[in-house]
Amino acid sequence: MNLSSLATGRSSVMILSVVIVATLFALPFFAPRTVIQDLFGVLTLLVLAMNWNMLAGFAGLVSVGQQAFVGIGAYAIFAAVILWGLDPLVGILIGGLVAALFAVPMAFFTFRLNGAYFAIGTWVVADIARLAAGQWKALGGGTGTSLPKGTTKDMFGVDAIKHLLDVSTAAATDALTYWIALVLALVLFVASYLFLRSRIGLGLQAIRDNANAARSVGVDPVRIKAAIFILSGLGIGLCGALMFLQITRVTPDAAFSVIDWTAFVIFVVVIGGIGTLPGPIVGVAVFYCLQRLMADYGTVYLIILGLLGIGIMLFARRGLWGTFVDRTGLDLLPLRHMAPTRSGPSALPPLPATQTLA
Amino acid sequence: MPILTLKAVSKSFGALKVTDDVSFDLSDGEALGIIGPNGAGKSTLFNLITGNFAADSGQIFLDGRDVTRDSAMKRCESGVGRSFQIPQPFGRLSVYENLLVAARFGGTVSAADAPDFCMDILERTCLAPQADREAVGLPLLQRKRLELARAMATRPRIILLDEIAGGLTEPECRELVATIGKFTLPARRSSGSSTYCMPSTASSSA
Ligand SMILES: Nc1ncnc2c1ncn2[C@@H]1O[C@H](COP(=O)(O)OP(=O)(O)OP(=O)(O)O)[C@@H](O)[C@H]1O
Ligand SMILES: [Mg+2]
Repeated sequence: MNLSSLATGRSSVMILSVVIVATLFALPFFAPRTVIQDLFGVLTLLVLAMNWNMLAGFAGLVSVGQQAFVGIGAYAIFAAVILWGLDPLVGILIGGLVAALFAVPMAFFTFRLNGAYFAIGTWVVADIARLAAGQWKALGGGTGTSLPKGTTKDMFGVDAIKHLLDVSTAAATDALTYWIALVLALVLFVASYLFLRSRIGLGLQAIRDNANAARSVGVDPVRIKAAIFILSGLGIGLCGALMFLQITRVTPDAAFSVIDWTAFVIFVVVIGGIGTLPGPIVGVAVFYCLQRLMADYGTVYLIILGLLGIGIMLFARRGLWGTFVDRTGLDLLPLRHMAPTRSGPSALPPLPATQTLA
Repeated sequence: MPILTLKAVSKSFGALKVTDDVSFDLSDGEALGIIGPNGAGKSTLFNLITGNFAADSGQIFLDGRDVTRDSAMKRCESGVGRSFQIPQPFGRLSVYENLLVAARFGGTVSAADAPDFCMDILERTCLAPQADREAVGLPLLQRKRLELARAMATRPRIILLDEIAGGLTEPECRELVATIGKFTLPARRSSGSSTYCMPSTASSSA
């Protein structure tokens, strides 16, 4: 692949992405409500997948306890709305912040564990959080609770959207939550890219390749990993609050479901390409297509998804996107810092340090 | 004042006392060779100085400051650079990025200066043509060169080279020594601050 065709490839993909994003934003103006609801599910799954990919794919933190943050985000928004009478949109922010706060002690305990023990540790912490939520009597204890009728109707922005789109209140609520999910996914994607291209992101990739050597060149693995863990707590907490605002009912088992909020997510990331930035998008797209194609056969798509996941783990360990990049050499979102091209000897002074050799 | 001081440093692995009460001073401009047969504890001594291992007892001073409890990251920032006996490149990063990490973290080089700074070292270590290659596939000599280059990119005041020539053929070894010489000569003339090489030699490498 020569450079100019790579450049045209990149710019056409760029144009295509802008068109897709613009279409996604405009969708509530003409698409039926069921499509908006479906896409809301896709976008929130994508947010969870991107977060897990940052953790496991880039920071090497294979957590199976990310449902803790979904659940905490969900319970925080319900508490904000029901107990404190706040606007649900403020509740979403609180959900994210509380989840990020919870990530601090969770990191403190689980970071003492390595590999499989870390995975089990995160799961244990998440399950403790689930049991604790079941003790919260004001929010229905083990059987959970619902948002009061009219909560979403009074939500900030719903009225305006209702008039703008000329639709029912319920449809306006769906449009609003959809737009929030879309913004969340976009911001997370761009932020991930900028993060990975930054100094800290480079340090993170060095840690992934060799933690011991990274320490010896001044990179602090614990600090960087903790930062990612806490940031992913924020992202997942926001997403959890948003999802349960849309569902309008919360129970400990649903909010802290390891299957829904972690297991699916792992499959999606593995299929799409773990440790690659576009991997989660590809994975979510495959997941959605399978679900659509086999909607008539019940949960057969899950069996197919499982088989696909196993096949990819065995034969294409870098997932669909990673394999595509390896085969074609066409990396649309390269994280690589290219060496500067220099002509002639450098004008720089000699290295600042001197050394002698025996 | 000596730049590096070890006072009665000891380290055991279980019942095996590998480093037994080691003390020495290293002063500005000095080079020290550590020699011993396989398993004598040379690499262990290096790991104690760089902070990769924690000493059981004794003290380590840099510029008179006690760094015995400092982490490897902190010691790197204080000016201790090292190469690993078995090269440990960041495999999926490019050769250039291997240096970039070292320069941006341990070397605290600014984003603006880092590219030229790294290319300068890559040229001196004859790695410039491989700059954009993934480090994982490099042949041994070049992996050894990368170890040296990456250590230099942390802007060390003391550099510890653990059997940097180990496993190389005779001509390769000469080539590498010439490369190390390239760092030595122009720099020695240039500035007051200094770095010291401690090539560690086993019986296996000439
Ligand atoms: N992490 C460790 N845990 C347990 N024992 C260790 C560890 N590292 C080194 N040793 C043991 O300590 C002794 C000294 O090892 P070291 O690597 O320091 O020797 P060396 O002088 O560098 O040898 P070589 O010439 O083979 O590189 C050896 O017996 C080794 O088996
Ligand atoms: Mg050794």
